[in-house]
Amino acid sequence: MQQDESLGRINATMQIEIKLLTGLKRYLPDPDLTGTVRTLEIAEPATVKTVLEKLNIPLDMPKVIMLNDRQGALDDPIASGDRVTVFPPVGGG
Amino acid sequence: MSILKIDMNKKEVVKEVFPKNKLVGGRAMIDYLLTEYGSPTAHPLSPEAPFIAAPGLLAGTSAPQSGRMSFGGKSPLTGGIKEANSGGTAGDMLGRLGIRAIKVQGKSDQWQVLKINAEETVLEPAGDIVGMENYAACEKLRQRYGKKVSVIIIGPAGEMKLANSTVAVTDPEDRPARHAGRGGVGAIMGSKGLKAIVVDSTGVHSRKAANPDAFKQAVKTAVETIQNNPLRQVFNSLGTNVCIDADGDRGSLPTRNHRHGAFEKRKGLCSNTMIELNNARGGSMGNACMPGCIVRCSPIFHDADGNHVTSALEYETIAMLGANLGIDDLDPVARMDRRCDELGLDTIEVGCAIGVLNDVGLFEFGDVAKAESYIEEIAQGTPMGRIIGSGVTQTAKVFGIDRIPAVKGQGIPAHCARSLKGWGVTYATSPQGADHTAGVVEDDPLNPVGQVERSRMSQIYTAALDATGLCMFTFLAGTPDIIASMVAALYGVPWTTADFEELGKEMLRQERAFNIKAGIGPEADGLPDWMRTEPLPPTGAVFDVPQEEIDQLFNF
Repeated sequence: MQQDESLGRINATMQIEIKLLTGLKRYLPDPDLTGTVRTLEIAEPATVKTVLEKLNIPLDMPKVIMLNDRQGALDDPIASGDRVTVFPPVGGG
Repeated sequence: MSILKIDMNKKEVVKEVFPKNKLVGGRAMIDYLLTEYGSPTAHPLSPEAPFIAAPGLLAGTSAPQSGRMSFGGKSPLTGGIKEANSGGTAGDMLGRLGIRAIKVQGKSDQWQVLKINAEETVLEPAGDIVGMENYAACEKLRQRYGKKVSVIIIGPAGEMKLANSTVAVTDPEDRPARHAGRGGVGAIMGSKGLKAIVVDSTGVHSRKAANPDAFKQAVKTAVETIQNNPLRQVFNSLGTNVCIDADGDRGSLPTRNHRHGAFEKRKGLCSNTMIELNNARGGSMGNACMPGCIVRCSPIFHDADGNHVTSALEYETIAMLGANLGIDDLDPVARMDRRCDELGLDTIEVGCAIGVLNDVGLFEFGDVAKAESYIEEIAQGTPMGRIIGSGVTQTAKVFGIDRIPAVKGQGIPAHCARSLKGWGVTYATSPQGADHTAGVVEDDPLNPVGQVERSRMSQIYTAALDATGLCMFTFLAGTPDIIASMVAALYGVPWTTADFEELGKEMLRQERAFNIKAGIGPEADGLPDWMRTEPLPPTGAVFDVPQEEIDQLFNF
């Protein structure tokens, strides 16, 4: 019984929105489709790092991550419905 | 369209017709008028050396984010040509009034205010605002001239004619938080005896286009392009401060006097920390600096008691007064930014200058009180304050420091040249000196190959963009056809991407020609030698773009 519950948790998935900008668009599922936004089904629990790994984005590639309206870090936890945006470094200020 | 020629000796204003279809504006207007009226060998602060202010080609129209205002002349910091631009409300107002440029020469013994509105342009005694810091002076000027004015003003640093002094422009909240920061443009304005320019365009409609339908369509395309650019949301939500993490991650965040490219305590400075503090204290992200802004990238920052401290707390300031001084707390950085805005000082140059004092034991990294006390010394005009207020190169000279983060006398900004080599080429070669807005290059940052070509194109397109008055965060420099369509429809002349590019090239040629006559030749187009030998942790990068290649940058 306990084992089943545990299995159930491991198998649970959630939907999140991902957005990959400019040079990173090639890492999108179906990169040839239009737009930069996709819905991604991902196993719970997940972090930003899990999402990048699932998309095969090299973790050491210089990039900026937004998690919803905040800046995201690799170990930030992801919840269902979150929006993860990844884009190349930008300059200014 | 007109140009205002101000003779400060006679206190005389002459309004001349400016040829409507002569397509120079903003930085191009500085280049044009300085070439026409300025002597490259004159002292930058001499009466005959002109101070020039110019809105861009698209100012005063419905073109989005087109109110950047250029200020310039011969720089007391670099000794060469100088243009620095700023947001704020004045560019749009001057555009509406049909004023393409203000050229000021001569010197008034008594400080003056130049009042510009639809009826008249007159010089008036500055009176009790002389010696005042910027916020108080602007409040006084609003009482004197009405609440709807936009104010262009120099602070005490400009009055002291310090080589690191700014020209401030008031923002939509009427705060003098927008600064044409670099190269000592405040001192050039101050050297004429001009304390402020007060602009009022009340009741004046935006400019009519020669081809209204085409202009409307071109503006619509521009607006949609900006709205659809994903970077809009990034800058709106996170501010330019997004770069603290972005540059920290790639080893290009100047830390402890440019000795490191990453700051281990950067969390205290980053966007998320700013957002959390803003949410708790009533500050805000996402504010506009000019009418018609779609991106709205500016934070307004409050203290722990919920009182406004500063507006436009930008990445460059946070990096140079934070990480570069080993300071990991946004509160003191915001306080110092406010003091610099009050005094009219460029935060990049101040951060560089205090940073090098570590080399001679006059500053310990992380010492907030000492950093703040040095800025107060500038306020008081003490000899030490005046030294720091003269920029990093002068400061280093006075204290016998040989490791100077500067090009052509101007401090290197907050994207490290060694680990962003294309940007480094821009710092090395720009006629403006080390300037992060003169030609951004992000590609393949650690590879020296191909960076000269990238920097050349970026500098050409950026120069032309600076002529239009468009903000660099319209991200339109990459789609010059959209910009060219707006200019063509507004002025009713054929103007294409090729013209845009040729304008940028001609500007760089003019700027370089002025510099050469001023004694700043090709030999000045390089980064400091130590950047070629001292590795920058954590990437270990040195600047290794061959000088022979760099010397070819202006071959176009």
